[in-house]
Amino acid sequence: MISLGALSGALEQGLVYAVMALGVYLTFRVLNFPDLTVDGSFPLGAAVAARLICSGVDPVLATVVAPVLGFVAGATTGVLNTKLRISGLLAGILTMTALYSVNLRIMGRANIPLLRSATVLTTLTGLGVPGGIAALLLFLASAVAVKLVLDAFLRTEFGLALRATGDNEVMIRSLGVNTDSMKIIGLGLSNALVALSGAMVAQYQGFADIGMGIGMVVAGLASVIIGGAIIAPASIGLATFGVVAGSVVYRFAVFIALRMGFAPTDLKIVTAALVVIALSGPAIRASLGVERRRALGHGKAKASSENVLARNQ
Amino acid sequence: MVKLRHLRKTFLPGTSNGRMALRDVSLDLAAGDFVTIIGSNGAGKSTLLNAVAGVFPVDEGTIVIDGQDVTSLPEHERAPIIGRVFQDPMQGTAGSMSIEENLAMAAKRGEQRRLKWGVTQKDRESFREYLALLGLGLENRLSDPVRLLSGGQRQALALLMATIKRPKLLLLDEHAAALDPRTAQDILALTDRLVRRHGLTVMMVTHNLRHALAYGNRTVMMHEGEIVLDVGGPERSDMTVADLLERFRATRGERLLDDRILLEV
Repeated sequence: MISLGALSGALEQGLVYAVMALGVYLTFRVLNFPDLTVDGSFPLGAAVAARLICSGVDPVLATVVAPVLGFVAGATTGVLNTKLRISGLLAGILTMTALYSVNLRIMGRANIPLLRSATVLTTLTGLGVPGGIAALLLFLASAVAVKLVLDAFLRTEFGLALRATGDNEVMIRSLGVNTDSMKIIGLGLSNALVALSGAMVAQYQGFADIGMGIGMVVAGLASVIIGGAIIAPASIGLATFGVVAGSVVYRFAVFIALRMGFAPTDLKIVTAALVVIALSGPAIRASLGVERRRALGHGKAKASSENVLARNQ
Repeated sequence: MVKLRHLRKTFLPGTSNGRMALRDVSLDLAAGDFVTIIGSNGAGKSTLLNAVAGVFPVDEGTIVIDGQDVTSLPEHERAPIIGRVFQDPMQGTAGSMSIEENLAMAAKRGEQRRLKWGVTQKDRESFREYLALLGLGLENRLSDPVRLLSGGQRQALALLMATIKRPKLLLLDEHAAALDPRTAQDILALTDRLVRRHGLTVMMVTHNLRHALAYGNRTVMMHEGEIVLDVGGPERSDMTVADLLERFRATRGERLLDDRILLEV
């Protein structure tokens, strides 16, 4: 029997990671930029928040500082790509690798426990919010707020230029937009969201760990893909809603996989397989389509006998 | 209005693939001039337009538009004064974005993009009015994504976008060449209407000699990175396509027009 607590845990995780997934959506889907900085900026947010909290800084302030550094991390990838002409994938990998050292420097060690520290969650319970629903409320509010702000942002003059940079760079440059700046700012904003998510996750799970970002970009991508599959992204609002829903569904899928007996360490390959299946869908469909056309066209006799068989079944 | 002086551009200099695409091109356009540019493949027509637009820096020479020396400005900083339409209808519009969003971005050409609503109710009303000029019914499809439009519709929209904020100079790079003849005719007629309506200064590259004489008030022919013929006024109005070909041969003493151009005569 699955306990209610476990289910609400999956929901909480889905919502807190949704903030990260919205960041991944901003780069992968809006900017059309495969940004791997995420694996480094997620633990960056966690490291900054944990270190500040341990130094006695107010947890709310610590959580707000994290996305500022996340922005810097993303903007660094943007500068590497646009100004130094390093390919987008490699630029992200370089920043991610460098962040490993930065994160260790910030934390001073590989793991900072926060179990006995004040966190944004204890701040909430201190305000009288029942402990059982504090995380759910906070993460729901965060995911919804980030979604709505992102929706509005993408409809501003600036947001339109950002979307056009991902859609048609030649056109938007001819309309006077500096696409380099757009990419740098877009990557910065995306990684700010990722770091914010990292800061909240650290406080939620009770520790920051140097390895907590491994596979994060793939998990975010899985959420974006699942979201696009369950909710047709006919508008910006629906697309971002899909990302949040996709993140929740993904965490439930992880939860179920664990219940089915998968070891937690096997989840990365399950997630990777999920993304491969989702991304290869069009290619597989296309090759199946070719097979069928071939069967119908070149081998008519054979195809018709097959059709008869199919009809008889 | 436009002063191009001694423009030179070599691509891949110092390599075996090096090619001098512009050799000493000078051209003056008065305000309201509509120059059609012809020439065989590789003559430097598109290179000239791209140099003026700032897609790449020129090696030598100066580009002055409306009294402003733009030679050293990057492409996006020239956008306030230059409107462009490309050959590929996909290139002039953002397919995943709606018609109104595309127009709104074009209406802010060369301006700072702020955190204000991209499309306001007031914008929508003026866009509707403006789109009605096309007679394509697009005014009722403001929120449709542009990818749903046909190539001709997208190119018509791209033309509106290039002219919605009156540019000092409009650059058209074979903008009707990728369309079927009937649609190409419509797009050129629309071009003519918009140019007259706004009183624009235009440089239009075309492969079609008939179009080169039918539109605009001046025709320039390029060959191997140079301007070899520049006709306007009564001389041009009496000209036929055959005359144009003859004049070219007389100037250069050789045949250069490729099959593509001859077929389109």
